[in-house]
Amino acid sequence: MSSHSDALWAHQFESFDQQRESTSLGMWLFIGQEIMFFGGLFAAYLVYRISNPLIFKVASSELSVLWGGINTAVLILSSFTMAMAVREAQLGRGKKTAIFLLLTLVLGLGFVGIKSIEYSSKFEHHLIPGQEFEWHPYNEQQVAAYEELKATTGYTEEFIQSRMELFFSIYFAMTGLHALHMLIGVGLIIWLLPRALRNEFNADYHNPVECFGLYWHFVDLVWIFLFPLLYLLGRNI
Amino acid sequence: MSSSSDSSHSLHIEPISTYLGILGALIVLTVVTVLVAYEDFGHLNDVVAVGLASTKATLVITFFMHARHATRAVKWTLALSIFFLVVMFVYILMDYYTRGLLDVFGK
Repeated sequence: MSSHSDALWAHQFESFDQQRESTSLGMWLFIGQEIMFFGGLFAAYLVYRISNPLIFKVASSELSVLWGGINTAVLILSSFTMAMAVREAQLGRGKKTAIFLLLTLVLGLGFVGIKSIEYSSKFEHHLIPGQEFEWHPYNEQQVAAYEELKATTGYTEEFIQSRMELFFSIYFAMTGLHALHMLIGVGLIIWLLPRALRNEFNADYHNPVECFGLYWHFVDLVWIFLFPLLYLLGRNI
Repeated sequence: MSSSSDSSHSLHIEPISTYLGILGALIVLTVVTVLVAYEDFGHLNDVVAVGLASTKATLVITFFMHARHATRAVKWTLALSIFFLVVMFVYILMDYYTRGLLDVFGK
């Protein structure tokens, strides 16, 4: 074993195996905490979605399935490149690890870029919750759905506006927290890149790449649920 | 110190084909998710959407996150996290949707 590897073996562990299992367990405990963190927002979504099923359907049709779908594909692809980066780190190939990390970084930034396009269009359409919020049905389908909503439920226009705003509050809270996680992930890749290029990772020690991979896949998981729950409601109305 | 071969016996390196297969499956399931959203199955739309998302999540956790080769402690951490997430959902929904079922004194 090289002396370089010895330096990465913390003295309290019996072996590299035990060291890896311990850091991995720590990361999984953090992910458990993250599940509850996002879980609170999913619970808010669940409660208000069940109370306002029809309004949420109309509100959801404001979101772009195309951008949301492309972003889902971008994120899944980035999870693949991340899994490959961990694999290359396990094989001790620093340069290839760095290349896959860089691809993950580019895809992650692509995701955030597309998200910002979506956010700015919501801004232009006055769909940011707050004083300026004002929703208008913009195509025939939405006008028909809006009229039907008013006729069948007897909701006032003010009530419908307030529940539309509620949907967008939940949308921005959930996707915003998710995008923040993406940006933190991008920062962590920038920290890992030079370490990969210095060939610090090998079969015994690749814990930082492995744990960051777990984080990145978790962020992907959140989006896998956000996409259908936010974007794909009421596509059949 | 023990030899290198001895210390990495718990390391499983997946073949690239596994990761490519999972990537393909995730993309196909995403396309299916979008296509079924345009069909009207009533309340079943939500069941189908969450079912497909859970299938994708299972693939990511099992293969990309190496859960299938993880230690028992990690598997328990994962199982208990999901269990308590469900507990949180169930108790919150029990609260919200049983309010007003009973006449509350002084209401």
